[in-house]
Amino acid sequence: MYWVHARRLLFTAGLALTLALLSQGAVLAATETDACIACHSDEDLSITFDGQKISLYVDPEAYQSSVHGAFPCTACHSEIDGIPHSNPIYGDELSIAVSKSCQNCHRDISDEFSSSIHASVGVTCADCHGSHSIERVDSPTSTVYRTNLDDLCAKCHSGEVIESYRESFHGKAVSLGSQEAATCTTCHGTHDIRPFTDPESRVSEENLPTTCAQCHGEANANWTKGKEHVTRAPTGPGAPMYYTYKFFIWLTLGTITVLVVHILIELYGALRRA
Amino acid sequence: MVMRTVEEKRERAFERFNIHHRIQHIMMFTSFILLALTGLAIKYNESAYAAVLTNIFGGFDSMYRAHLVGAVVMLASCAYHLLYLLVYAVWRREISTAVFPTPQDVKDLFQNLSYNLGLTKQRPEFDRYSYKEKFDYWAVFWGIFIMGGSGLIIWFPGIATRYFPRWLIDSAREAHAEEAMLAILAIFIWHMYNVHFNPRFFPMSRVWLDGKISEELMEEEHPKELRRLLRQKGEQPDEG
Repeated sequence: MYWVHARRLLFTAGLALTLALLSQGAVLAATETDACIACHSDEDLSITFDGQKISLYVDPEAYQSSVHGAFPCTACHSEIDGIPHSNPIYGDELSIAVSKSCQNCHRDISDEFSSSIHASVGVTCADCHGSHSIERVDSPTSTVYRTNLDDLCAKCHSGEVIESYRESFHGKAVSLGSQEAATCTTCHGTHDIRPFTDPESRVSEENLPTTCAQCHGEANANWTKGKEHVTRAPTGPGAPMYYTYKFFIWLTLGTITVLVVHILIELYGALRRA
Repeated sequence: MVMRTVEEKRERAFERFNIHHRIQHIMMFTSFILLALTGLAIKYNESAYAAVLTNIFGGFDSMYRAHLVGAVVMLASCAYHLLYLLVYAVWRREISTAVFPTPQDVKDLFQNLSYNLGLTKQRPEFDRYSYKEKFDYWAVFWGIFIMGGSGLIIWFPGIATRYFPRWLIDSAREAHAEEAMLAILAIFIWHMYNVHFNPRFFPMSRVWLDGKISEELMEEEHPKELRRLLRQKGEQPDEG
């Protein structure tokens, strides 16, 4: 009896304390964010850095409806010190500083990311996820939503790699909103992407069959006999597709021409006899 | 010789498509239309048409399911036809060779063209199947082989990679997307002309619906077959 009472008392006190702290935190965050927004909601607020004009505008509504909208600005911008800011940083330095802030909450992901090719070439969290309007991955307007991924990756990976994907069944299906067809990350992974030359990569010669088999059932070695991300070309790995395409194009043109000529001759005959 | 009047010939019907032919044809064309509509949306995914059709189906994944349903129905119609031929052959203890190409078809082709160009007064006399109908029949065989074969390969790449390298699967997709255009153009230009817009049949031949063709049309389109059928009935054909 005594125990039950004590636990209930403890629980109630704990709950009250938690709620009080949470509301206090929310109020503090709101006040701080309001202070930042007082200047940064000005669409013309900008600075010239490294010869480039950098906008310092933050859309308050977009930020507040983003996944991080309840956090104070300094949760990520921990380098900010006082108003006006005593020691502001911009460009790459800012990206790196903010990426470090991401680690405060997303530790496991940043560990995973640190071994990736993207980390080693200096890609930061914000390059893919955006900054002030980050949304959940399953939100259709998120930069990393499945149907937006090809555009996102194409910011750096242009040319044949993205063209061949858009021409592929996977790409066409995803462009029309498929929830099942493969996007870039289905095969390449997300935070731990490695180059295909790395044996640990999902798309290395050893791992590719297993990666295809995620959806296509069987991890046969034949998955590696032929290249992904090739477009039709008369020479090289695109040649079988190129000649198949050409064969059917000419077969179609030839056949339909003959059939149309035949129809026209019959119609001419009918007209003549009429 | 008793000459029958035009009215009598218009009234009298011969069965051209039996119930099996008609069911096979209905399965074939309904699945064809479904496959063409959904397939074009996949091929031309950037078009406004693709967006509209995807919406009608409530999303890409269900539209793609519909494409696969169409594929199953079309392959089933093909299996039905082959089974029908097999049962027919066993039942009748003979194989019908009426649809096989013969040298006469080549002669008929040239005679038909000459007739329409006004170089001869004599229209070719077709038997059970004219060369055009034989062409259509074998074109479907070719189409089913290419579309069904490449379609199954890209539908089941997991199984296909047991036997084929990856590049063959990619090539199968090219074949699927391009042979589809040949099939669609052939059906909507050539076949629609032959059975709908041809002045002889306009607005349409009813063979697919009730399987029947009038003696009048038989006389024009399949006179050799008509004479044979009449002789089998113990009647005296009008001429020939």
